[in-house]
Amino acid sequence: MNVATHRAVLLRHASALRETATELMDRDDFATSTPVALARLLGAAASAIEALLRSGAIRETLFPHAQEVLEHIGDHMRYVERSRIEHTPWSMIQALERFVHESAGPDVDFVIRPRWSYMYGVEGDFVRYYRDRLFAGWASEPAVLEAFAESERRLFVLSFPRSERTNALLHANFAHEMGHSVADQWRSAHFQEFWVPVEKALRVKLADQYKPQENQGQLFAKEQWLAERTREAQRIADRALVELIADQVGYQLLGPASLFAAAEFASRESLDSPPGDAGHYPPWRYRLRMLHERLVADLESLNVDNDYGCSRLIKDWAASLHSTVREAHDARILRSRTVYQSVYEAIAASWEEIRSRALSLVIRPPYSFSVRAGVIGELVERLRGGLIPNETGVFPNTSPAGFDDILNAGWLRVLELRAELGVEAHHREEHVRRLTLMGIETAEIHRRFIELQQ
Amino acid sequence: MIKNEFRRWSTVCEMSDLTTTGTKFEVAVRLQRAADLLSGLTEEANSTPVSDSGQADLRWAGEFLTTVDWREPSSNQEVGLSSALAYEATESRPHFFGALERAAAGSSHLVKNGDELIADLSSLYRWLNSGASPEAQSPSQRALKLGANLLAALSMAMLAELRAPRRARSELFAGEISFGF
Repeated sequence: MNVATHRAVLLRHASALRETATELMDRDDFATSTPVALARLLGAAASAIEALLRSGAIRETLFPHAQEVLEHIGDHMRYVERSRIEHTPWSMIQALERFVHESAGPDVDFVIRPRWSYMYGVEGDFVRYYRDRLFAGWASEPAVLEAFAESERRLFVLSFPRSERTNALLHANFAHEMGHSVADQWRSAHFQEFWVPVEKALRVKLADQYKPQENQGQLFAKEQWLAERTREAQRIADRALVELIADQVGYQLLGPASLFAAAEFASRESLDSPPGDAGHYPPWRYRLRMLHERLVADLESLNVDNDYGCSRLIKDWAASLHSTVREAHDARILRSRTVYQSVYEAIAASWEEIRSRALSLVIRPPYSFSVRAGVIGELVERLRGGLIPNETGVFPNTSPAGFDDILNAGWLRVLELRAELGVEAHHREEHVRRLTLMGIETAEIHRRFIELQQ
Repeated sequence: MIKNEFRRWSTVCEMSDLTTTGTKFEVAVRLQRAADLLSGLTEEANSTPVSDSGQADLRWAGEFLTTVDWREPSSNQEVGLSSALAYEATESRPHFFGALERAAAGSSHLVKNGDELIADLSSLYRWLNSGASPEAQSPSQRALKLGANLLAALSMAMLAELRAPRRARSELFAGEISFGF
């Protein structure tokens, strides 16, 4: 394709994206104003590409790069479209937004959207991604400065499995996803200082294992072989640390509810997949073991008499999880290759310091089941009676229940039903999930009413 | 948490992936700009001095290449590049050595043997790290061409990695990159 035609094609693509962004900004069926802000950002990015193509600041050798930016804009545009009220658990979004602001800071906004794949996820920060990374090569161009002049807030997209839209209990996984924001901060500040000595030691070990006869006659065969394995090790270390930190932040924000949701999710998967076969993720058993340790530590100070039987429920569940995490199948997997072993030994050696540094970045105080057991028990008792778990106390002296307490109560009621009814609990569980979702919405309305009165 | 295949080929990135993606793209753009500058210098009619911003681009490329090439005695992975760029250096190292291998194997009219290739690289690194200073000894035209092709190949390899999930390829494009000598 000649240069003029290629430029014209890119210009048309950018123009179409800008127009689509404008159409999305005009919609009024979003639960919050954040999807419109994302559409505005994407439209500004498309406009900037248009201007850079017209001015010649993007020359032909960078056309493939410009095309890549346009494809990213198009990918991200669907998040806005999919975050319309009809696709989302809209009744909990405002409560979730309050929780995010209290946990991650008031300058954080998020878009929530469903996805067809069965997974939770988070992406962002979109402002910094576009302004500081994709447009870094043209940062001083007037079109770029103008496009991102008003982009000061942090903007994330949280996603959930579409089939679980109204399953508020499973949405406790959002706490883990929010933990990725903290993990990313830790990663930027500390990953390299963790990684450099690990890589050096690994190179020495791997060099001893290299068999030159496999690639005779090639000048850089050994270097390339080592480079491929150290890259794999870096990806495994990076993914492991990010997920483990996000797990810990999730527990810090929601306590056992985050562990219940993680365990529910893990039950669908192999607990001991090698990182190399599982997108570099750590084995689930390894992750659950770390969270179980956190739960056990939390329960050590549990001393509540009027918790409506919740202490017994959670202790029984912790014992059941212990029987899973005490098995060491994952440890054997992690010793099966030099790459895995080096990475996970290094993580184990530094974990306490890593965890402590990462959790120091969380602004919300740690959630403690032991401290909240009385309130949780009161909400569980409401659920047992078929009532919405939206408040505690006795009328007229009631208080709206916290998002975190409601989720923990909902989970405990589900665990109680499963203990009593086994697989037959399924239908009753659905009722609890619905009550939980309504409880979150009603408590948020209550809280806003109080704020209006003040 | 998710199916392995979807993990591998999802068009959607997790947060750390978005950070990595952004950095990878930024590096790809900077490498291509440096490649364009070197390519311009190999044109015989070009006697234009390198601009200040061009010098900065070349110095950055030298720093990046020196970090990627861990054979190089001056390679230093602990200082210099930011954390994110050091991460990308490890990410791009297999592409770098793969590209060098192809350069050594397929460019006999340019580089007769490995020693010459390595000597060309060393002179290129010194000159790039000086920011293409007029006081520094200029590398040969052959070394400049090697550098231009190497930087462009790395840039395209990184771009291909960004596209690979979207196109659901089972192999990254690195194997298809040609020096085009």
